[in-house]
Amino acid sequence: MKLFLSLLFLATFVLPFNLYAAKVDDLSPQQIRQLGERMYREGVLPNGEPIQAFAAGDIPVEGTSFTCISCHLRSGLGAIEGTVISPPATGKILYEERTTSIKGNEYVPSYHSYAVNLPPRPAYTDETLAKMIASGVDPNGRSTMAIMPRFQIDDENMAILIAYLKTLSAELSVGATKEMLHFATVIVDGTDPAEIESMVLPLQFSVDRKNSLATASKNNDRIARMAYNMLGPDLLAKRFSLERWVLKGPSSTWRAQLEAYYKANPVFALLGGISHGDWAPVHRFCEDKQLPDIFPQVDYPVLDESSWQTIYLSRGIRQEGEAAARYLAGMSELFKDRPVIQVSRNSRRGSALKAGFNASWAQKHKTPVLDISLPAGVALNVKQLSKIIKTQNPAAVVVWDDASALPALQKIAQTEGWKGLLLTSGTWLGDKIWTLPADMRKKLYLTWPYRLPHENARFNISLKRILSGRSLDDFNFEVISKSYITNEVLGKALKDMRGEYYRDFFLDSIDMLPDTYFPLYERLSFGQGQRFASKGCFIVQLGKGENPQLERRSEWVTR
Amino acid sequence: MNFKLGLLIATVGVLFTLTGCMGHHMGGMSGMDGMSTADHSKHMKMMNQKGYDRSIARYQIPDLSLTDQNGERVSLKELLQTDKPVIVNFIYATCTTICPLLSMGYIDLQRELGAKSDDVLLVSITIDPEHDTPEVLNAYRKRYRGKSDWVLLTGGRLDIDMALTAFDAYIGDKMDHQPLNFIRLPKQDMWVRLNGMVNGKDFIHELQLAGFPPSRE
Repeated sequence: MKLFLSLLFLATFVLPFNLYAAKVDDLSPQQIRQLGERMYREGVLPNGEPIQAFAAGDIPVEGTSFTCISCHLRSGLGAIEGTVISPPATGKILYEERTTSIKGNEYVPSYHSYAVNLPPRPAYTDETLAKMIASGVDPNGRSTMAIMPRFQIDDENMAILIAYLKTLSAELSVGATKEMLHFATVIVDGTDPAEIESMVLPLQFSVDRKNSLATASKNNDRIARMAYNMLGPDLLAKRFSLERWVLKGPSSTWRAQLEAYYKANPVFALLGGISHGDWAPVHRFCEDKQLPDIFPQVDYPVLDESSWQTIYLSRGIRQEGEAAARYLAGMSELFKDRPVIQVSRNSRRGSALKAGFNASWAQKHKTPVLDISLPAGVALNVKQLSKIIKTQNPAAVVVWDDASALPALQKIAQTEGWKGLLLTSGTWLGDKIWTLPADMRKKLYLTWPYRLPHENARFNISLKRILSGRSLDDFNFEVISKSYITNEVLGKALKDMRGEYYRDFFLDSIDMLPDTYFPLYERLSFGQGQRFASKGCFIVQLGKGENPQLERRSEWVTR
Repeated sequence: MNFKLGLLIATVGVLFTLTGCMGHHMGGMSGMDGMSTADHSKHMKMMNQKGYDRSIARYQIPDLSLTDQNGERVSLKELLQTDKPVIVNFIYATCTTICPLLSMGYIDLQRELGAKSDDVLLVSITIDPEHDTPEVLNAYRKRYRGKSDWVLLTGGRLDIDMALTAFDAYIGDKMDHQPLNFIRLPKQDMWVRLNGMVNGKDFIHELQLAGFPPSRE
């Protein structure tokens, strides 16, 4: 029976394979790239059908759910977590023999997992690789893990996929050369110069530091040894460049400006960036060029599930609105069926908060939110709102407006007979948050998307190292912190990349970073395809006294 | 006869576990330091055969309120106090290495059980609660075509950490994740802790060792 099965297997998968070469030769490299990439990333065959696959032996799954990238990542260089390895799947590595680094290592049993030590194997050939993808049997005759689905791909398509794997992470990406890594940061003209300085300083600091280290290690063996230990053989000698790409005029003209900048200097990646308004043209540009952008500081990130290239620090202004809704939803039982009133300024910021609140609220609740819109330039009408509060008896009143609304909020908080929760955006109040009158501090709840300021002190120590003696007060604290984080993440990712400078691997390496504790944010977390590193918000109140602190009224509330 | 045989297997299984896994429950290579060469080779054989490490432990399940993949609040303690055998593991949705193994083990078990997949309650607790909302977990289960008795839980970071700690599985970071499965039979308070790759047949073997399905008189 077994013999019969093996023969059947040979007949099905291996024998016809000798005929495969015909079709793929007719395709251009671009077609192979396009068709192969679709199979590799999306699990879709050139004819548009999903690849059929079997997991754990014979559980039918669709290749669109279990794509190659779900384990081997976009770069094909695989992943390591704890003691388990997804081995690389690039042609460059598969077509080389794998030997053990320490002789005899292959006989040491892996303690917690199968793959602490990848077993040696001969180099793959087109035939053995096709066999492995179709049947899960490697050139040693070993079965690969049950988790690796067995993909049903006919010979022609298999040849395309294999041709694609051979191109995957085979050549360094644009912007990376033997000597240099080129970066740029995008600045929207008209941004506060102090904020621009705070954004650029950390980036420039580390570029300069890196370049002087490269020079010094050329001239001094001791420094070279230190740099080798810190950065490895490749990164130690690498030089960085950082260009500032300033975008002027209306955002509709940015695309052409970006194209021109990129043509003159096709950088490896964008670092940071700053805009309080539009960002979508930059986001789209990065998607189209497959150009990574790490942590642009923007109020309105593009929330598109299918985008890949830009990693944002958070979901922006909107995230406060989302968290507010989650927080209130969690207390719904206390409130019974009382409504929620939402007053929002008719501006981009107000609308983002409102949209976030409504989207998050709708996930949990059928009861509608009573929306009141404040047109630009019109102050909050206290009388009107108090009247509504008296008739509706809302469980909560949420107000999305700047600090000019504070006097009105103070009066609303004192509405006679009303026992409900008053909530607004902490960040929109700016510095006025610290001067809330005593009687409001107990009444007013605030969204706060960062670590509480008084808990930041020990993290600020690391921040101060890059200021070259200047005071932290000279800078915009939030902006410089965010840029510092960009730097740190860049450094960690580059070290993990060990000289393999592919843009996909750059993003993969960031995705595989552990959760980190930096200045400003309580916790940044990563994961494959996770594109918003900070995912929540605190609900806080201002404490008592002349030097009040923010006090937590919630756990870290997430979407 | 069957009952006696089952009892014998269970007893042998427990003895085997208690003796076989005493020193190195804590993991890593450190547990091997005190072993003799004979122990070592025996151990190697065992490891090579099974691909996972096994121990028995008592865990105090904290009274935590978590949220399942449908967005419903769930008491962890009540959920685990079921009259079915229960298996618990820790996963996260964007994991590229260990979690696909763990989740594939679950659906492999459901496949092995076939029509009886309801007989065993499978529980996965996310270790990336900020990203893994109920919606994300629901999509995750659909992706694996998991059947109804696979419950996925998320919650506040502190609650998740307490759950991890309760199972002696706390890790500082999700990237240090261990491939752990925990099995307990109804009305028992001892858990079988499996560290390593476990497929559906392994699960059934382990459930049998622990005494499930109960032999009929």
